[in-house]
Amino acid sequence: MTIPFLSNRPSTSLAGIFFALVLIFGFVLLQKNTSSEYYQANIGNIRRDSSVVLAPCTLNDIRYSHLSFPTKPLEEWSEDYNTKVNEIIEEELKPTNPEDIDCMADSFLSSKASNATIKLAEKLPPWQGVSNIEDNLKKSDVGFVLLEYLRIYECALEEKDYFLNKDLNTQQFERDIIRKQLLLSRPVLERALAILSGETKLSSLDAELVCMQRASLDARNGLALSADASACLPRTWESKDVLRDIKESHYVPSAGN
Amino acid sequence: MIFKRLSIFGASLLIFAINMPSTSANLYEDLYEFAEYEFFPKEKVEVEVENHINAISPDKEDIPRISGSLSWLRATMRSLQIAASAEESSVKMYGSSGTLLLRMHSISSIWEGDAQNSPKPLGSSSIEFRPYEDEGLIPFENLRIELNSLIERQGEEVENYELLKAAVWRYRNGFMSLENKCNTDNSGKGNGVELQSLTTHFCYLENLLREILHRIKATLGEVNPNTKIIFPTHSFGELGINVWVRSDDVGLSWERNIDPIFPSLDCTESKSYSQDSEECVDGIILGGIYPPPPTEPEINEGYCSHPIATHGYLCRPQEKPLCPKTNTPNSGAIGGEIFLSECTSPFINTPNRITESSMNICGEDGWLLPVNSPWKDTPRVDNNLSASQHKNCYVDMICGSCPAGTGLKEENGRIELCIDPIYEPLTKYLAIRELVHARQQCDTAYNDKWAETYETINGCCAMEIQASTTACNALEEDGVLLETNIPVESCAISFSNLRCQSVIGSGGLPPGAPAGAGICGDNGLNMRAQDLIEKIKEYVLNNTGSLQVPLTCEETILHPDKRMKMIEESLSQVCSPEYNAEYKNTIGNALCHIGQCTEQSLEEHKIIPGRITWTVEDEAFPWESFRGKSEIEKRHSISIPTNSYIPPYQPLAKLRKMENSLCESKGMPRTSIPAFCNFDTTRRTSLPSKTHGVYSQDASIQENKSSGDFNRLISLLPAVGARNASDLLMEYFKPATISLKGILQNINSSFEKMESTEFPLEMCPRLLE
Repeated sequence: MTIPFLSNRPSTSLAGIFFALVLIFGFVLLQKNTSSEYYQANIGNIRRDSSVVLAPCTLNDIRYSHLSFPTKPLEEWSEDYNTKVNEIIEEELKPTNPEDIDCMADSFLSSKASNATIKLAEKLPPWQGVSNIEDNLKKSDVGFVLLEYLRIYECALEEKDYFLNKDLNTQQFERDIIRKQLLLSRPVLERALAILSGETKLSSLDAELVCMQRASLDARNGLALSADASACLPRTWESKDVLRDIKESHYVPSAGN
Repeated sequence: MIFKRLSIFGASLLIFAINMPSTSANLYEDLYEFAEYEFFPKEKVEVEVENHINAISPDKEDIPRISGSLSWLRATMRSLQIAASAEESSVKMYGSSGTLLLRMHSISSIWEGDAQNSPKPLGSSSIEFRPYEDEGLIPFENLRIELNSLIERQGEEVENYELLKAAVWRYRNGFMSLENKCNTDNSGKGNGVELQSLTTHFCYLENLLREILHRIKATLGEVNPNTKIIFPTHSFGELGINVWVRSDDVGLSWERNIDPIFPSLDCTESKSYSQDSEECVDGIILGGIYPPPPTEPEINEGYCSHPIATHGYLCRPQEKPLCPKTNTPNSGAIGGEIFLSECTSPFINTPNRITESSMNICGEDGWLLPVNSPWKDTPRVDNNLSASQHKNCYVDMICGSCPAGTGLKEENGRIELCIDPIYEPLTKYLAIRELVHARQQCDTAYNDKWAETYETINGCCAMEIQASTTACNALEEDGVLLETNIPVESCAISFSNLRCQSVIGSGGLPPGAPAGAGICGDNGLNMRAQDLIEKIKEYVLNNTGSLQVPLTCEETILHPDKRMKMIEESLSQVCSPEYNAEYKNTIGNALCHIGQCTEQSLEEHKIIPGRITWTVEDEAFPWESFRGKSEIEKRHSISIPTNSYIPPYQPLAKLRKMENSLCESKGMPRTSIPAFCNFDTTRRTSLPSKTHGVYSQDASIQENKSSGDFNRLISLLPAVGARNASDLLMEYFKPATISLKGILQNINSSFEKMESTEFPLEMCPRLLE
């Protein structure tokens, strides 16, 4: 009888178990990757590990530590939030410079988001730790980023409101701020996004046309050169004639006349 | 009341949104401010509303109600405007650069050849883009200052933008289309009704816009009146306002149009020049009398039957391209569709193109710029014209007494184009049509079957539709067809029907055929071809000044249109040596050049070799150097005449001649078998002498007598042979030396050519200086 562990011949049963485990793990990994990619494709380029997408509606979470709300007084929230959103909207409204369109890329339909958007997205939980965010975040993801920022802002306002002492008149000022911001921020952002999407909805078609324009210019240059070269065609067909200039005086009247 | 007001303004602002792109300086800040007015009307009241409330009601109790109503109205109008702007901001018309439409035009202008009808985004006008020659000379800064002055400031922070808004909306479509002239006393003031902002003139602003247009026009030079030139949009960034500049108009636009014009509330003297309307009471506009709300259309009445929807861009009648209106609007309905508009193409019965084997690749319009052939044609027969070395034909245009139309190509290449003055002032367009006919047969051989083809229905219609389409395109370019509401295709079919029916007759048309039908097709307008042409003629006759058309046939020929010159120039064989081909740098024109050169190569050269040449530089097809006068043909050296031959030796004849001589020397007749002429030795025997001595002497010398002639002949023969041979040699050498001379001359010329060859510095230059 051979003791399997000491044998230098591989055991069929152990190899089978090993391969089975590899297969199972591989399948699990594959499933995980597939679902992650599917997930990613559906909600914008958020993060590959799908464990955390939406953080809780509270400020008491370490993932909000990069934002100003937990640390600054309430009076400054409104200015911080609106300045940031304004900055992003203005950045995104800037027309794409046609020179920045890479017509040779696999897809130029979704251009990259602006730096301001990327900077904000890096601070928001769904995009924290996402590698290569500059390449993954597209112009079309701006809405996701801003709405997530709004959601966190609203959560912060709600939570702040919840813990205000209702009986203290001194806190009326803060309550007014919260009420105003909760009323205004969402419709304003939604209208801004509507305008933004209206202006950018044909941007991919515009990019297509820019590329078509460039291709047309290339074709025109090529054909212009071909047209110049085609002037040689009648001479080329005249096999006896060399490719040179012949002045008319060189056409010597032949003998016999 | 508010609902009625909203309906009216809702309609207006939808129309604005369709026509106008615009923006403010900072979108988010503006939206935030708008929302503050909307959600906190008590805290934040607009300046105009506040003034209004203070003016109409000192009673503080009314303030919340009035303020709330007005704020609600304004918030709703802004919401509608923002929604419309968000939806429509991509659908920008001209006025700003970078729009899809202009980019499409740019692409099509790269592709178009002058030989084809390119799509024109601004109706039938062609458009051009130009930079400012000197932007510093354009008074944009003054305009900015003027616009800035329209912001009413009360105190340090309170600003009222109503006048500025009214001004930008007012001149969104330019100032040229405004009907009334500006009265400076009323500048910036309305007529005292609620909608006064829509009709207010801002004279200083208008003058500045006019001055900009004036400065622009001064730098334009000569421009086709039907060409619109677009200049770069100037932006006043901090105001969120742009100035768009065209060669025919100047106007304003918003960077982003989110703030509409509101109903006016103030009709005091500072705001209105008239307080006479019923709406204006004590300087306050109470609101107008409004018509009842529009009635909703019945089911199945059609989407565009709603009075407000009728003004929407989906329901507006299709402006361009023109197409004949169909008689049955829902002819193609399957069920459930909403038909907004429908077009049918004119129906062409016959082939619309027949190509001849020798026709040029770009066979309709002219694509070459007229730089080579100075126009020398006169309205009479011109005997001094001739085909240039680059052309296979030339045209001679004649006015008046000749069979109208294009004559057949004559032996010397002349093609007579006869223009009938009866069509004045359309003669320019007829001349274009006939020139196309000249192009159709220019490169065909003399006595070709062109005429035979033309006399068939298919041939006539195909050739006429090509030619008439070119003429009708010219009519469209000049704006004639746009004004007369006739599509190019209908125009071309009508002209073709008339011409071909006069050539072939109108047999074969069914009795109940529509009025626009003819042997070539139906123009789709249910209008007789004659009437259609009369309509065009009448319009041209009434607008000769603006169209710049020559009034007479003579003038047409003496002062030809650029398009006529281009078609005439395009008769050339562009790949001929020393031909200077110039054309607009487009893909279409480059293809025309390549195609024409390929065509010339195939037509002028023998791709399949003929016989092998005999001598140096001999030509494979010796007749070609005598055939024509093209440079290619001239380039061949004339072949050497090969008339040398080996003279006949004929030994038998010579032998017979010698034998005959032998007989003659014997005094005998010429006989064959010269042995018969020999001395007869039996003669002495048969005729004995009297004495034996003589007899025997004779008998003994008989042999000598017989052989003497032979011997002499034998001694003579080498000399005779030598002379014969010399004759033969001379007979051979005489033409052979001529050939030798030719060969030596050709060799000599070849060496000379080799010596004097100038090798080009550039690859294959076509032109020799």
